[in-house]
Amino acid sequence: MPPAVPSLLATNALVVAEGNGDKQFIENLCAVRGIGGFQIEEARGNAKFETHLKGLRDRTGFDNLRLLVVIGDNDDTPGDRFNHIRKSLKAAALPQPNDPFTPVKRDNLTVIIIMLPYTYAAASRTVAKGCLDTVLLPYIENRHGAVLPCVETYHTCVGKADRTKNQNDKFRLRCFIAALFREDPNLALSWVTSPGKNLIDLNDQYFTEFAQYLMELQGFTA
Amino acid sequence: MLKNIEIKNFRCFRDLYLHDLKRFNIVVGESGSGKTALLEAIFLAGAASPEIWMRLRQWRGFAGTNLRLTGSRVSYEGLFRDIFFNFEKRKPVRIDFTDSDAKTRTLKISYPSQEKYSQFSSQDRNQENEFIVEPIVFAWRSKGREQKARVEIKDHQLSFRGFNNVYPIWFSSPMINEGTTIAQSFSELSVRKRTEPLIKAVRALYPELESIGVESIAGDLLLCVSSAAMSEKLPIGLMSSGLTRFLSIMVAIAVNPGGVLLIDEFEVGFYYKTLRKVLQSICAFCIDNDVQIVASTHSYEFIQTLLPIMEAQGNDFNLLRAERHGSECKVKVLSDPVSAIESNFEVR
Repeated sequence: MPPAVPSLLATNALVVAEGNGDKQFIENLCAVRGIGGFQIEEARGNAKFETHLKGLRDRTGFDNLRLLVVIGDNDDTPGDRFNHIRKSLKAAALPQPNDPFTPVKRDNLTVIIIMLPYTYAAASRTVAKGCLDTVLLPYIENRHGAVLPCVETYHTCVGKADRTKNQNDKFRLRCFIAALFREDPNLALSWVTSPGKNLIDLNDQYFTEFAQYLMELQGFTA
Repeated sequence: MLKNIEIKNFRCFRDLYLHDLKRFNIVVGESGSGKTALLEAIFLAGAASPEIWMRLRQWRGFAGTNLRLTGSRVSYEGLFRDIFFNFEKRKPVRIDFTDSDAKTRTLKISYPSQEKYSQFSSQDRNQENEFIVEPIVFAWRSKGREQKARVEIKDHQLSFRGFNNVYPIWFSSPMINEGTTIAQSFSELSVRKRTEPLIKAVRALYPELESIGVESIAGDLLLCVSSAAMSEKLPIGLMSSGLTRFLSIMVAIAVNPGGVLLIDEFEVGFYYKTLRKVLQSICAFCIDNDVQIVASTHSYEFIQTLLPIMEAQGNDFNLLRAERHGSECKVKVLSDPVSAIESNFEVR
């Protein structure tokens, strides 16, 4: 495989998402909602946040960066996951917000951490277990109500009490994808939010609050 | 080993301070960002004669010491115009460095206004169009002693006076034809029976080579190699550019123990498949000979290959980025290049 072309930092607003699914979700949401100005990339997993953030300072164009948004998953240990990102920011000598959705500014750079699932946290500033799957699940359950009883039956049958919230949400979303996307029942999460797949309509009002929030973040780039 | 460098008003640097230099220092940056100028500043400060400035000009594509001045002040000063930041000849150049033994060395280049010099030789002095130029002065200070060298024109030839204290610095660049110098250096090593580690290191990478030696070919002394596959010894210039560059660098290291090797465009000549082994060999040989490297490169592949090797050698390295801001260039030491490269970030 040829070596990848080194990645430029071409804008003053950077979003670092935990995984490719998160990255594609933000990218697709911005595309369909006409939100511009962000460079969106993935850290390639929770364990790679530190390396990714530590490397940022040395990246050509870092001096022009005004906004850094880090997006991580709460999974089943929201506090730990949030603190892991804070520690990664600290190791990278970057400003560390005290809470999710709370901007912190040092010199010319504002840093914000968004933890998924965002809706609960954004609305009440409380934290909820889960990940991107948790964000997408209520939408898909609501829109494809006909499939819901089947998923519910299967989920109950194979046992959901002994699984964590995060595992259950992933399980259920996977079932919906397999049921609804016949062309490829194994469709990766990174493709699920793609407009071309017609599985998730990111123009739906369910995503409006978050899109609005992203749009407002652009104010930090001024 | 150089630890700190301070450069004022030299070429594109108004005021640059680099501290805590390491064994291996790799400079990246866009074309015109000052990478080569940084190497030139170090080379000039370590030198002992203004003749080195003329050599640097020659490597940049200007004429060497065989000049054709037009007999005007502008013509004389044109030789040194680009030595000064923003061509401001009234602001002296100053290059200071401190090495790991806390020894300091300073080079100051200026036109001292109190000193005047007639460009023309004595028999021309009464001519009506006579004018006065100030000679440029290169003043080196080292070991508590300062020696000034003026660049004078006598009998329409530039003349240089030197300083007897040279810091061991070698400049290697694809722009320089190093053939004769390398042959001479190898011969010096050979006379002192010090070629064995060099030959061993080269043969570890190129086992097909049977011998390396200096031969006279059509009157030129050239470094030649032989292998079982060749019926005659061949000058290294006729071999691959990778082998030529590798041998040149290895000879420069061997002949310069405890010194500094400046390498411009380090990556040039090396084939990607052999790059890792070549760099491993150069790094190990530098450590064996206590040689420091300050090198420039444009190649991301080169940096990707080099950083893990340097990490394995004990993290004794810096990655620096030269950046141009208007007419001024700055050099930044990258804080965590390994993370940046691992994340495939553009750092050049």
